[in-house]
Amino acid sequence: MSVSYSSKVVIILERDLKILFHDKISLVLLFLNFAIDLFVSGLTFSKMITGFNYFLFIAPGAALVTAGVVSFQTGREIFLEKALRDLSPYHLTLPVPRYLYVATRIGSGVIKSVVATAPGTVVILILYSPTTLMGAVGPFLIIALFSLAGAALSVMTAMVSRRTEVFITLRSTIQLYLTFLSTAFYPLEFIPPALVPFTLLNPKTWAVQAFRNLVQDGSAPLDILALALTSMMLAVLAAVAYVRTTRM
Amino acid sequence: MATTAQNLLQDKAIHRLLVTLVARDLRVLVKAPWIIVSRGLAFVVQIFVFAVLMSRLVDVPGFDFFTYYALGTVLVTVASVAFLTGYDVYEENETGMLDYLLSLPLSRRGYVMARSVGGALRSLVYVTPLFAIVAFLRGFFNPIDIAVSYVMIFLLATGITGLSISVALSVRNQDRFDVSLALLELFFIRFSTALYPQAFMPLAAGMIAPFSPVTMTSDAVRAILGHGTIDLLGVAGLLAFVISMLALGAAIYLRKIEGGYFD
Repeated sequence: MSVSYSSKVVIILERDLKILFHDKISLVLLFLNFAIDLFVSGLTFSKMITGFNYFLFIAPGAALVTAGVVSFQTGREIFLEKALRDLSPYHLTLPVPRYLYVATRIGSGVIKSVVATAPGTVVILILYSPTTLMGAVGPFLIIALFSLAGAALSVMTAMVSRRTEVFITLRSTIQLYLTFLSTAFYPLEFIPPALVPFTLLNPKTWAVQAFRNLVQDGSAPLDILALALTSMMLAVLAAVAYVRTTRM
Repeated sequence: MATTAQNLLQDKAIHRLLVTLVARDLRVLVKAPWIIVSRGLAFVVQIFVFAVLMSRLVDVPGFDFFTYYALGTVLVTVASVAFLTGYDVYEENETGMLDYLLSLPLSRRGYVMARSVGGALRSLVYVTPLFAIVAFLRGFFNPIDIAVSYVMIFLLATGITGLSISVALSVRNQDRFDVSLALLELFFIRFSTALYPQAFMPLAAGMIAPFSPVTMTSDAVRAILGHGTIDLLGVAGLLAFVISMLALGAAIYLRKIEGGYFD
């Protein structure tokens, strides 16, 4: 009995999503993380900064932190299956082409991230009160595109790591880069010229810019295009890395 | 006479065992250079990128955000490294290593104490070069001030290590454990005066902040290094935190091990 590709995709997606919903308390804890980030640190910093509404400025960054953490779980699961649970050899024997398999795993990471970030995204939408439909729906697309980059980076990290501490170190370094060398906390004009190229290569830069522009003006075509191109490129690289690393 | 000699020998053996456990935790620093690299990088980026750029944005007359944040980053790093012991204990629990460690001829209280002190010393060793950078940047050169600050930091690290051990033994799901520890770390740090003064915090957070052990340490260390007045109540609070976390850790060990797992 043969199973269609679409059914296989659904099975893989279902398995990954079950992992997320298996522990609902973790979802609540993720939201608490977001709330502390925004309503404690965000509000505190906004009291120290004058001239513009810093609280609203950093709000999208808080949601993207959650998206980054959840999307990185894709690579973490692949790494655990490979290095600790010995599940990878079994997965590789499944009648699913490798590219389809890794694309589905990345896709499930994106879905998980959008779902886990949704409460925080809604909070930010309430704070901004966008007046256009695109302003209200667009941020979810931004979270999805940014999560695509996060999941892709995590898969690449899983592929190059053989030991847990290497995976953890790479994950922390990538999160550090995504968080601090982006425009999540400070406008681009405050960043020294030497760091600007790194900032512009960072998908979080485009994600926060697109998020802010969408909820304020209802449109951010260039930011979305830059984010989509960066994320797609990373996803292709992750798929190639996965297929090459798991080749017999 | 023979009993006294036997007791002395036994005490000596237990003492050696405690030292071995502490040394084992310290060796992790050498065995896992990757972790040192990543935490060191995080420290450098936080000070030389985040703090520098944020100090250009912060607009409070008479308040130097960079210097305030730099010292706070040392405390945050100490807390962060102290929480790592929880990950070690969780992994030992998962792999079965904990069963062996608990079969050692040592009381549960002694074991928790040794692990907490080991984790705290590890944090202290780890943070020393980072503290040196901040001391150099801010001109803290008085050895007595630095030594007393170290004692305060050691107390904080001991308490947090004890707490992380308790969480590691209480949570069985890996994802939930990761998120719980991250949340606790966030709670301890963000609801404290380590990174920003209490005056700027939202009302509710500002009311909680004085009860955070990170605040108690941050205020004490700033007072010591800045020759200000030390809040003795805060120091007493920090001691109470350490004692209660060690007691909690020992109690959870006793309950888990003597009771056994049913799943």
